[in-house]
Amino acid sequence: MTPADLEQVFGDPTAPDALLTHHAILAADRRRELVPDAESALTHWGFGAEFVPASLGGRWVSSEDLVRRILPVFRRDPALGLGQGVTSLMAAVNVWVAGDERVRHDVAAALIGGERIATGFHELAHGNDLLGNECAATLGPDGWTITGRKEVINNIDRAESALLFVHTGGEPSARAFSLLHWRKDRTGSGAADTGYRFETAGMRGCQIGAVTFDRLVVGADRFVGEPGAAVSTALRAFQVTRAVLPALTNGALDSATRLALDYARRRDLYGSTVWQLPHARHLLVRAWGALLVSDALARAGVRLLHRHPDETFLATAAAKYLAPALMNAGMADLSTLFGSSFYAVEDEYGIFEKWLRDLIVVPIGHAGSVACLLSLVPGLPTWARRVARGGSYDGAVFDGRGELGELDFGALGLGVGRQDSLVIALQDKAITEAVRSEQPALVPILELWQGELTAVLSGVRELAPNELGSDVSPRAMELARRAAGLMAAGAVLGTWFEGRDDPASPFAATGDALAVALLRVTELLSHVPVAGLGDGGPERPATWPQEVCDRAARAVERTVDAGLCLGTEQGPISWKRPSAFTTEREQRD
Amino acid sequence: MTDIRSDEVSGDTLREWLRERVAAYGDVPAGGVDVDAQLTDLGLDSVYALTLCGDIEDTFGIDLDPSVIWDHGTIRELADALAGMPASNQ
Repeated sequence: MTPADLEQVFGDPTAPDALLTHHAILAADRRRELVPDAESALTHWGFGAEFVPASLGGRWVSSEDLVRRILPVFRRDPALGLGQGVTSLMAAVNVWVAGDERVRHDVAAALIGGERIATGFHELAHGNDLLGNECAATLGPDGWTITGRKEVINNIDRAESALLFVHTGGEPSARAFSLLHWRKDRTGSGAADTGYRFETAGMRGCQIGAVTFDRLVVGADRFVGEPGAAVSTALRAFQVTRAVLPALTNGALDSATRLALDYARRRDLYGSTVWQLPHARHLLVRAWGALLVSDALARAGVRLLHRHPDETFLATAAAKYLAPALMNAGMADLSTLFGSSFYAVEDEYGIFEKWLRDLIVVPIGHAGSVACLLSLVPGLPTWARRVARGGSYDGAVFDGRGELGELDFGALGLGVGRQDSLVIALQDKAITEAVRSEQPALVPILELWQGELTAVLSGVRELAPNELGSDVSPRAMELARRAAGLMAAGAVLGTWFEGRDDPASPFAATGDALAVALLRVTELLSHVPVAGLGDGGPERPATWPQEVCDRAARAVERTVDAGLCLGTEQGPISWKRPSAFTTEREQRD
Repeated sequence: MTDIRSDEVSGDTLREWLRERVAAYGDVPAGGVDVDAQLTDLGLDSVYALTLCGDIEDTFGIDLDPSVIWDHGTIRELADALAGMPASNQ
């Protein structure tokens, strides 16, 4: 049975009688809580079942459908999405990748029953350096004895169980760590203290805490995967969350853009509205561009999990690095548009400031941006050889209308894919021809990116082997950043190409959407010159043409006025119908 | 990179090839690299294993999971493991 649309369950967030309003979210945020009624509603709706594969009794088949169903949460409150559910997803994917039948069914039943699972990986002293982790478990006659501390763990206090990344023996190496599923109701001697709570600037409603283990004993059968398999398991499993998380958090930028448009159209300044100012329209269009690029990349990453899982070790690292950065850049543009209203946290627009605080956490949390770039680096030489060799274009990677079957978690690897299905869009003759015939003004930008591809491949060939390990060189990091940019540009082109005849695509709705997305992604080409790489890349194209901004601004207005969301897939949402706003304005005038 | 099918190469060829790669990584003469030393003791970290894996795939035409390198800690062990692997169909 198809679950109810959460847009309908939550209702219009600006209407006082809705289940989840901006007002309630802000009030809960001030109390450092999630909105209790919304949490209950999500449990009742079956949030946990979303994260359980259908073959284990849950609702998860297509990961893109999962994103679609949960987006209404993130459009309203990213902290609710993360704190109520997605942290459980982070734990669960490890179980789907490596758990045996018993633990898979155990975890599936827990999630479907409404339980939470904390993801106990992080130790503050070691950041994203998994091999530095110190929390340890030793095997004794009664089971595993855990000693140490895990920090900045969402829901560690209230979750019924947690997945722990622990050192289980030997010198720190990729085979020295294991995953243990700690059920709080099934432990032996010893103790665990989960009472500490971290105070955070963003995601305030999330209960982010720590656990200190004092010789806590858990059963010898609580392994998830083989002993020593934790690093390999996590590096595979987190590809799923690295893809899904940016696709979800884009929902908050979508809402923020809609809110900013509402503000700009209402706010009087210099004898007119803010919306009449070309600079204000440019800011909003630029934010929309960031959303289009971020969403094209994130959604393509989600589809790749199904279509080409051999490619997702690199592609999802690129998505988790670049999409949140674009998202935050978009939020920064919108905060400029709000001006002083951004600082006065008033009810009507105060939610913007909360979203901004929440989204700042996204690049840091769960595979930090730098860690994601570092994941790209060792694969660069192989990636460059295979990109140069070419491959076959797969339109389904960019088309939201395709059917995606259940994920094959066993197919997620740690290598470089056989090809790069995102970058291929830049090399594809049919796409180049379509740009030439349908968007001739954009040919110089396309050629700029094709030149960038050649330059990056050439730069990668010059890298020495010892620049690629843990002691990565600055120029290797820069090339990883540029490779991520190429994947984003490819995702934009492919999503445009496939979306032109899709009624739900902004690329079908307006010819200017491609210009906006390409102009925005091309801003990534402002390379810092790096020694040995010449000027670091081609020159950037001209600034944003005013007429493109004006037409794009009207396209955003039309989309919002039609009651549709603003990402790469324009579906109906519950938000104050702008027709009501127009009437209100007409009455006032 | 030259494509050599794995069913055409011996453990000896793989061993020498790996020795050269490890030497290039450490910027030392290949002759000084002990094929029975732990790769980690030769300065190879688990991250560089990911690079090496791609090089092996493209040179010998085999599909390889980088964790194979984590499980075979010396050049000799790794070469022996690779010599028994089937060629990929790419």
